[in-house]
Amino acid sequence: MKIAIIDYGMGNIHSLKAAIKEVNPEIDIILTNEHKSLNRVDALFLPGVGHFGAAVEKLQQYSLIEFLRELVLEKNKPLFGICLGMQLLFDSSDESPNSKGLGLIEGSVTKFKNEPYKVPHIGFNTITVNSRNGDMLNNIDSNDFYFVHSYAAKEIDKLNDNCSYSRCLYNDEFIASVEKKHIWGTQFHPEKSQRSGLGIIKNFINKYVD
Amino acid sequence: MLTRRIIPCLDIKNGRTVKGVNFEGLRDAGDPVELAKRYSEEGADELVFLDITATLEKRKTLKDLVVKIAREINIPFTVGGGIKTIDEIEELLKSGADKVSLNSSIVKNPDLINEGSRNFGAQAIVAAVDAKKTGNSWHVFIKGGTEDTGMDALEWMQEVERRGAGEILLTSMDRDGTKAGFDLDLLEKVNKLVRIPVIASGGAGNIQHCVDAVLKADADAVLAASIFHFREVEIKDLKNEMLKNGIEVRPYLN
Repeated sequence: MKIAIIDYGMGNIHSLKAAIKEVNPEIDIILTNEHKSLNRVDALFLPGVGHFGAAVEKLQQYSLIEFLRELVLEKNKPLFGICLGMQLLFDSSDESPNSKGLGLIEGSVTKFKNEPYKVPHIGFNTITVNSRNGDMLNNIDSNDFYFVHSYAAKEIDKLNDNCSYSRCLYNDEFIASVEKKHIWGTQFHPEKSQRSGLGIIKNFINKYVD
Repeated sequence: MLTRRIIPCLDIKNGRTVKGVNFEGLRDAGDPVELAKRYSEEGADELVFLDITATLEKRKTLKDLVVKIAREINIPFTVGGGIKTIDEIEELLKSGADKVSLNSSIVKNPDLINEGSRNFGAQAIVAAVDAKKTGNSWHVFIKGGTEDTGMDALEWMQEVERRGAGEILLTSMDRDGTKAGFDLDLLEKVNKLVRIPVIASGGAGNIQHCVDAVLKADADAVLAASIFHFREVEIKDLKNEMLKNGIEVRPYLN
């Protein structure tokens, strides 16, 4: 039972680590960006707050872009991206048009329009679950999750049949969570959303970590 | 629908929670980590920790406290109090804080907002503004409310938005500690001028004050300290009352 939180200098790794420990105290959690260690764990978390371009730069600095693509696509390593970490799963972002994301899920990330509500989108908001095929949102207490972001993936129509997702409305409709087989992403912070958030982390761990 | 946030604020001095009236005469309110856990369990949406210790060891103790809080609670929290540099911001965010609150330092060095926002994202940078009515306008005060900068608070809040702050924590110094209600006039004016979330602070004395801040002055979040510390208002009751008034809040679950 071993998981890695990918430590590339862009995420609130302590809160995530604490949340995983709360879900299962037995799990061995490592914080790392070393390829060798990432290879050896059962599953990966990609946290992240901040700027898309800066995050891509950091990932490149540790040669993680191609490495993660290969690990996830060819070796089927489960990966859970949170907030900016979910945005990085997509192809690109308006926030930094010249930086390429991991391209694991089709679509781009764009800025919220500024009306009628204020941006950034900060606080608890309610998600609408679109498809119950996936496992992420099974047995969750409530659909209220903590969001803090100014950009979001909005191309719901680009998600293919392999994807389950939930959506949320804030000035624009956007993808709140996505589950494409072993690739999971949440725009909200499960580690900051109390019991419902811990439930999602638990679902991921129960499914992929033995 | 995005919910309005209820945010208990913990003023920390030498590792303990304290609460003053008009920034003076501090009363002890307990262990911050225990209090934070209690609030998290009772349905608080976020927490704010402001360290008002003025000693050299402060930086280390604040960092240690942040590590402990991140381990114990799973709602977002902001930490503030004397943060002056990008390195200090980075250290606190890396230790587990979600946001930092900047006050006196950004008045002296406004570029810190731009730099912080560029490095860590706007969502991590909260501009704290202590405002006090002076004649027909509000002035920005710094150093824990002891120094009048002469700056116009409404203009300053528009500037912090332009520079990239993600939120404003607006404290009315006239109301802080008085329990006479938020300064609705100030709040309403700010909310017409800026497009980033504004947290109302200073003056919460009862549930109605919090309801008014949202309904009459469009506050995105309400912050209070002593009414929660001394159990004069239960977060659960506050949320129920807000719901009854048609205000969207995250329902109390436990």
